[in-house]
Amino acid sequence: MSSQLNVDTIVDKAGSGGTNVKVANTSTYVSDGGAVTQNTVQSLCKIWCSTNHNSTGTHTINDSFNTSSVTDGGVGRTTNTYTNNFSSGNYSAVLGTTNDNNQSGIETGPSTSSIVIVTYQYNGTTEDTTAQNSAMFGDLA
Amino acid sequence: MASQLKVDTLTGVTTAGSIVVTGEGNSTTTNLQQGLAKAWADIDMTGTASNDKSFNIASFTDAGVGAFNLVISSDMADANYCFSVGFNNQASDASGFLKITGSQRATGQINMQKRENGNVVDCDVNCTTIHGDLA
Repeated sequence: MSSQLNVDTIVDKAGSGGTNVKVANTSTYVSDGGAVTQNTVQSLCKIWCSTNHNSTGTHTINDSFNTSSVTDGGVGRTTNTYTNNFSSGNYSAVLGTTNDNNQSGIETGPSTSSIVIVTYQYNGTTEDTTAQNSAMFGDLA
Repeated sequence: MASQLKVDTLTGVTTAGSIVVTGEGNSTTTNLQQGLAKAWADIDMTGTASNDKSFNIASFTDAGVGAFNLVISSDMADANYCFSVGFNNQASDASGFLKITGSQRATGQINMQKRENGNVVDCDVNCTTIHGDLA
């Protein structure tokens, strides 16, 4: 028998916030317009990271979620390593960056546990940035 | 003692499609439904084009070199939604981007096109994620 819980706010048992609430991977939610339901877990961003290339120094994390480390791979190039891995290398990774006239791209073959992101100028030259941003959507292992 | 609540569907009381959760800093609440990605896809356009992985995508079609169309399973409420992209480039020194084709963004479909150095090209990683209101 299916069950339905009607609530306005979800917090953990201690009432200290939502950080300890666990959601099963089969759970669904009612859509914004109320017309359909969708899987909740598949809709969640699984990993995000903002990396500072620091121009002349080691790459560092501005802020992140489910990212264990970033590795400096040269000018504009960073390897992001995940804490909890994806089930396969097929997932959606979307990117952003800060500097004028530059953008970020994915190097071929993101893996279950890491991704290499390259930021470059409009003319194709790699370039450091203060915020190389990424967000991954997919199925965790 | 930890507790476990088992349910199949989360529904708001006041509004079915609106549940708030407490933020990480414990000082604010945010809307659960609006914070979720409503659809995402990882499309490989090299060789025989394929949908490597997706969520809430009913089908995709190869629309020619560098171009593909994503048909959304459960439609968006309107065409004013946010799409984000990620991609790789075929040439190491290329300046590339993944964009919507013209203004072809509808509640049930989004058409995408990959360009490098101004030319449409097929590449193997074309990621699109959609945020917005479902119908």
